[in-house]
Amino acid sequence: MRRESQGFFTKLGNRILWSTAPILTARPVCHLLFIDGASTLRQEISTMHNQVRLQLLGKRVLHELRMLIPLILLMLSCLIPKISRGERTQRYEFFPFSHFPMYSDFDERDYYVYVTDGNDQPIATETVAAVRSTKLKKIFDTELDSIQKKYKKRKDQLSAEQCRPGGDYTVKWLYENASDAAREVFSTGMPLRLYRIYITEEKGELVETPPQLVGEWSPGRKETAQ
Amino acid sequence: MSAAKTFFKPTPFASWELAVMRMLFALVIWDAIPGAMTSVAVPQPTGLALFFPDMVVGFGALFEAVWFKSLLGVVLVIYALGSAAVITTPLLLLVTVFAGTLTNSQGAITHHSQIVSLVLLAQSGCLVYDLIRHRKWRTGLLGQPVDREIQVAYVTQQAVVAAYMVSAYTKLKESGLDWFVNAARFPIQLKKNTRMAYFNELKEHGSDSSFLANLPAQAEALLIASPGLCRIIIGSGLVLEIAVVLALAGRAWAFFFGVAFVLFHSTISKIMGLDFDFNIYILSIFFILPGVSAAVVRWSRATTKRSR
Repeated sequence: MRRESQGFFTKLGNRILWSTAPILTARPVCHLLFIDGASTLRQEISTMHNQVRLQLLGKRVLHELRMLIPLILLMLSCLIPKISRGERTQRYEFFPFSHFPMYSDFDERDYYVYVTDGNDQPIATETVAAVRSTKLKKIFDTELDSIQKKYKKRKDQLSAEQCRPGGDYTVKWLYENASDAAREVFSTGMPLRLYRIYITEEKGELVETPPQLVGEWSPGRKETAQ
Repeated sequence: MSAAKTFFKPTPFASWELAVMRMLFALVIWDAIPGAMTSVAVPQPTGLALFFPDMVVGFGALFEAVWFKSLLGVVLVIYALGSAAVITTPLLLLVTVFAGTLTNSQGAITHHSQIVSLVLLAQSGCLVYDLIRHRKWRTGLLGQPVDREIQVAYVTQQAVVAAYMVSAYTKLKESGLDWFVNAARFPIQLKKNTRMAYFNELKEHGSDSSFLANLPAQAEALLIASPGLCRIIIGSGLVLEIAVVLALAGRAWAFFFGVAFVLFHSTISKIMGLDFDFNIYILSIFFILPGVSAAVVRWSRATTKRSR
C-alpha cells in the first residue's frame, strides 16, 4: 500500500515537475523566486526535455515506420532489379517488379513502326495476327539496345542500315509467333517489311519523317547479322 | 492533425466491406489470368525466366488445358469466400507471375497486369508472415480472422502506393524537375500512339463522328497549341504520384487519391488508347469503395435517426 502510494506521488510529482518545468525555469519566474543557479538548472532541464522529446519522437517514428515496412520492401524490390541487373532495358524488369519507366523522359523526337507486305501495303497486325504495333515497336527497340552499344551511338543516330538486324528480327518474330491463319495471310505478300517513321515538333506543328525501311524478312531468308 | 494520428494505421474495415473487396478482387484476378498462351519460347528472358526458362514455357502451355482453368476457378472461389487464404493467395500469385513472366519474355515489356501480381505478392507476404508470427497453424491456414484481413487490405493499399511512388521516383531520377518542362512534348507521344493505333487495324481514329472517336485528334491539337495546359494535365499525374503516400491516411484520403487516379488513367486511356483497366479496378475496390461505403453507412444512420 505504502509502495503504491509512493509510486503514485512520485509519478504525480514527476508529472507536475515536467509540465511546469518550462514555466519554472523561465527567466522572469526564476528572478521572481530568487532561485540560485537558475540558469544552470534551466539549461539542464531544457536539455533533459529535449532528449526525452527526441527519444519519444524517434520511438514514434520507428513505430509508425514499422507499419510501412511492406511499402518500403515493395519499393526496394521494384528498384533493385534496375540497380543490379544487366545492361539491357529489358533486364531491368523482374515480373512483378518494375521501376515503371513509361513516360519518365519526353524526348524531342520519337518513332513508331509498321509492317507492310512485299508491295509496301501496310498490314493490320492486330487484325491479322493479334499483335499490336506497340509490341512490335518494343521488340524492335529492345534489339536496338544492343545495336547501339555496338556502334556506340544513340538510338536515333543509328542509320536505317545499322538498324536492319533489329528490324529483320522483329518481322521474323511476328511471322514465327503468328497462328497458321495469320501466316497464310502473310505468305500472300512476302517479304514482310518493317518501316520506321520519326515524329518531331517543328514550329508548333508535329512533323513526320519519310518512312525508313529498317527490316525485311521472308521464310528461308537469313536475318542480317548484327 | 487527424491525418497525422491515423497516418500509418490500417483502416478498420467492417467484415462485410472486406468480403465485398475480396470478391471483387477475385473477379479482377480471373480477368488477369490469360485465356491461352501461344508463346512456345522465351527469346528475351526476364524475371523468373532467366533462371527457369523451361518451367515458364511449360507453365504457359497449361493455360490451354480445361482442367487447369477449372482448378483455377475453384481456387478463386475459395479465395473469394475468404477461406484458406494462406494457401490460395500464393497459388494465385504463382499463376499470375508465371503468365506475366512468359508475356514479358517475348521482347516487349508490358505493365498491364503487373499491379495484380504486385498486390497478390503483398497479400501473400502479409498472410505468411502473420501465420509464422502467431503460429496458430490450423486456424491460421484455414480461417481468415477479421484483424488479419484488415492488415491484408492495408498491405494491398501499400502495394498500389508503392507502385506509384516508384513510378514517380523513376521520372524524377531520369529527368529531374525538367520532367515538368519536357511534359510539353507530350503531344509527340500522343501522335505516336494514334498512328500506332491506326496500324493495328488500319482504321483511322475519328473516322466516325462521335465525340470519343475524335477525342485523340482534338486533344492533340489542343495540347500542341498550349504547352502550359499540357504541363498542367500531365504534370498533375506526377504530383499525384509523389503525394500518393497520403492515400494511407484513412478512408477520405484514399477516396480522394482513388478518384483522382481513376480520372487521370481514364483520360489518358481515352486520348492515347492505353490500357489501365487493372489499375482502375484495384483503385476502385481498395481506395474508392471504402470511402463510398463509409458515406453510405453514415447517411443511412442519419436517416434512421431522423425517422425516429
